[in-house]
Amino acid sequence: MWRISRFNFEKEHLIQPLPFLYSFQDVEYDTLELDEEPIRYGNIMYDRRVIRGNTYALHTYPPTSQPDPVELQRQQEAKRKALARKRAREHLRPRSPEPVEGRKHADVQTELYLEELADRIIEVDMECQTDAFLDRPPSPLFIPAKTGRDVATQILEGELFDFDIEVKPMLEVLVGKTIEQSLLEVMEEEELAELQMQQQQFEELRNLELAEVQRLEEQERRHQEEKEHRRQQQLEVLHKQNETSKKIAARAYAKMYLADLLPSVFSNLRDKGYFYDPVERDIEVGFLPWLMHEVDKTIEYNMLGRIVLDMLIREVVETRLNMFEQLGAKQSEVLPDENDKEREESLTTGAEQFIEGSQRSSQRDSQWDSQGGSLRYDSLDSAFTNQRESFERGASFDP
Amino acid sequence: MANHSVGREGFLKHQVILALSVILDDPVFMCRMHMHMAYRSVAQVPQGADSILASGLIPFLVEKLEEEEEEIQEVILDTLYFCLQWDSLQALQSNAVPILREKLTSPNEDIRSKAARTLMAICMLLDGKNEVWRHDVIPLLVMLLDDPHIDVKGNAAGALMFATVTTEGKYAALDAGAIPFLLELLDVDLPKVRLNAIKTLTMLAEAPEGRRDLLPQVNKFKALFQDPVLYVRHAAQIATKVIEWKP
Repeated sequence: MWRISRFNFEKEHLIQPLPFLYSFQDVEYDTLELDEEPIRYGNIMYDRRVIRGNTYALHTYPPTSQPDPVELQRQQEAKRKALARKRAREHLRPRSPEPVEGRKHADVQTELYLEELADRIIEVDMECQTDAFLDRPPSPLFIPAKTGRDVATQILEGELFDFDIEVKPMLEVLVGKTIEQSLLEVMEEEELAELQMQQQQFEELRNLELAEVQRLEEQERRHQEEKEHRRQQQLEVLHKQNETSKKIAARAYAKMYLADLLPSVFSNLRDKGYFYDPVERDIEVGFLPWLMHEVDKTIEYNMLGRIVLDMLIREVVETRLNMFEQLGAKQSEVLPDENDKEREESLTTGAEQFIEGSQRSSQRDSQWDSQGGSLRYDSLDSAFTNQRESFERGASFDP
Repeated sequence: MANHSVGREGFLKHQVILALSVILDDPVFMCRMHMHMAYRSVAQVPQGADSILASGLIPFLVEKLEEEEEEIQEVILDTLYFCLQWDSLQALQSNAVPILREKLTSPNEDIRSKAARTLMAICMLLDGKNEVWRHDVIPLLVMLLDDPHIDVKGNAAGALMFATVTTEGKYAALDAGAIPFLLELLDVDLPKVRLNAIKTLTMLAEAPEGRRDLLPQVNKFKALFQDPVLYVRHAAQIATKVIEWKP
């Protein structure tokens, strides 16, 4: 059965060319499916699809257009007609009668020479195509043909050497070395372990000793500290004792020293008159000065009086002297120088004495003696008497 | 490499320590782990410890102690233990004592024991002792004496041993009630623990209160005279002498 080809678009119906059948007539086409109908070959000359003749004025529909409904109808009618024709043909074809029950028709060849019938032509598609251009393959290695003679030889077991015997020394060496090595390693490990243990022990010991040393150091230090402390304390105690004894000694000494200070002080004071009888003191301080003062005053008055008197007398005497001189000068001018001189001398001495005496008296006035004014008075009196005498001497000149 | 002494000398010669310190912050865990293990091996030699101190790594190590995972912490604690026996000044400056105090309470018992050991190293020098007393670590240590793990007990006793050398330490320990715990420790199997306990008790016996408390227990010490380990016997003798000393 031809497939629908696009070659002729309008002709969609199946084209069945004249079948090129074999001699057997009863071809039951009902048994075949429509799709698997044998492909009918036909002559290309009589193929309707092939366009013959002039192709310039063909009535070709444009591919995009829908087939006309008229055309479509026509085609369908044509199809139906073809189908009907076919059915009629089938119907009219003489067939053999239906097989009896239990039997079946079988096809048999009736020719003289039996041919192998096949429903289908065995077809094989063959294609031939040359390869694309390939590279030139490499030329094969040139292996010259073998020349010479082949000779083979074969060593059988046991001919060359005896394995067991030969291998023994080697094995011994190998195994021996391995064992030795492993022994060494194990020993090393053990040694290491031992060393470690020893190290640990040593460390412990060292720690211990260190602790011990530190403890002893500490102990020593503490003892030393204690000792220092005690020593210090002792020193202090000693020091204190020393001080105390010194203090005591000093105290005793001072006491002793000051022991007879008191009486001496008292005696001194008493000597100096710090202890006095208040009445006596009072008399001495108050009364006696006043007394002396009064006495002094009285004497002063006295003296004053006497001085005034003396002055009076002096004046009188001087006037008299002057008078006498005048008289004397008038009377005699013989003895004026000596008498005057004498008189003047005696006058001056008298005056000097007088002045002296007054000076002395004034001096005496200042020093007041507690032993009594009587003495003084006496001395004053004596001074006065001296003066008077000298004065009188001077004044007693009487020519 | 650092496990062998030649390797260590090589370390010091080429100042590998400084180069390794760059890896301190490496993100890869194994890297840091190995680096710390190398440090630990170096620090076991005095020169190595000196050079680690000289390169000022201690503050970093102390920092790392806070941040790192536990395994590395253990290694760091070991390294610190060895370094601090020589000079704990840097560690004290970098505030190691409070950190170690925290570690004493960590749930991991290895960390606890190693922290106690490091504290012991710190306490070997006088400054460390004072610092430890000031930060009130002594009561914690006394608590640790009661720890189920034997190692922890031993190390705590060791730390106390050094911390109680000073008078303040002694009184702090006595106040925290260390004596009963220490007396228990005298019966423990491990000689190290016994030694440390005896020594600590000796220290405490220096103080009058300690002596008063320990005088009734003198028999225990006398029993230790028969101890198989020589050092325990010595220590017990010293202890009895101290306890029975009259001024």
